[in-house]
Amino acid sequence: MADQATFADQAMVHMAALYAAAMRMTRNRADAEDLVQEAYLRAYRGFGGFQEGTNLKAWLFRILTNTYINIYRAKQRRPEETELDEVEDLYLYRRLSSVDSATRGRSAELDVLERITDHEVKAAIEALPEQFRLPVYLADVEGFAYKEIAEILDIPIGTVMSRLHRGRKGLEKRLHDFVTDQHLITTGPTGDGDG
Amino acid sequence: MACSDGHDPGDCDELLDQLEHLLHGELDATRQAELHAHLDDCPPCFEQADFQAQLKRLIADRCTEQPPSALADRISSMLRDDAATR
Repeated sequence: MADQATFADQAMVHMAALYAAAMRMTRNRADAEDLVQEAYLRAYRGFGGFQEGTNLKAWLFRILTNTYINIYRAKQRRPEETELDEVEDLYLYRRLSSVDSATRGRSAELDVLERITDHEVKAAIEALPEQFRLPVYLADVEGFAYKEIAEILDIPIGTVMSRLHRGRKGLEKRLHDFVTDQHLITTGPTGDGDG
Repeated sequence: MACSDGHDPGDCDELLDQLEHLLHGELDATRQAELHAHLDDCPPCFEQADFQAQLKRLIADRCTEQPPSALADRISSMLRDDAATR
């Protein structure tokens, strides 16, 4: 049983992480701030139910996610896309390494990666349908284990793994679109350019 | 993925199948050791794995946000108010 008097000391260190996640969920600053505030209020009031010694950050992310789903998603008018195109494994790697390979060094793919901007990565994550976006964010940005993600999102671990697999490939496809749009690479004769 | 030198091509398929779990630290020690042994033997798989590892690192590094400076204060005073009114 956690003592409410210690809540701020323990919980506020996670505020930047919660805010960053809220930005990817709501896609704008004003809603992200409101969401984080509301999540902290709910967490504070429910802190008695937190088991001391378990993962506080994961517990806070669970509350953030539930708050988002209950409040903010309900008011977003645009229909939530649910599907992702089928994309092959190693989508980005295979395209970058097939381009002009004769004239490029072995680390050319890595050089292209380094030139992808913050804005592009954030936009690529935000473009994922929500059912994929949240697992990918929790895994690859926050580094939560599959089991923790299953608990945060309240879905089976097998579902976490399948959504991560498809979501990560969708993210790679979007990043590839940015890379080609920015002319960071030119599509060579072996690239299929796919649209 | 065609690998000419010595090992079973099935090992490459297996590596590809397990790569995202390996990079996320989700495999047990035995399985990790098997896959790392394959990576040591197979340059094409090593290059793929290295790329995916760098991509994963990039996604995390590029996704930070600076919260508005007033937000922490606002939350703290909200919690104090909530405690005072109950």
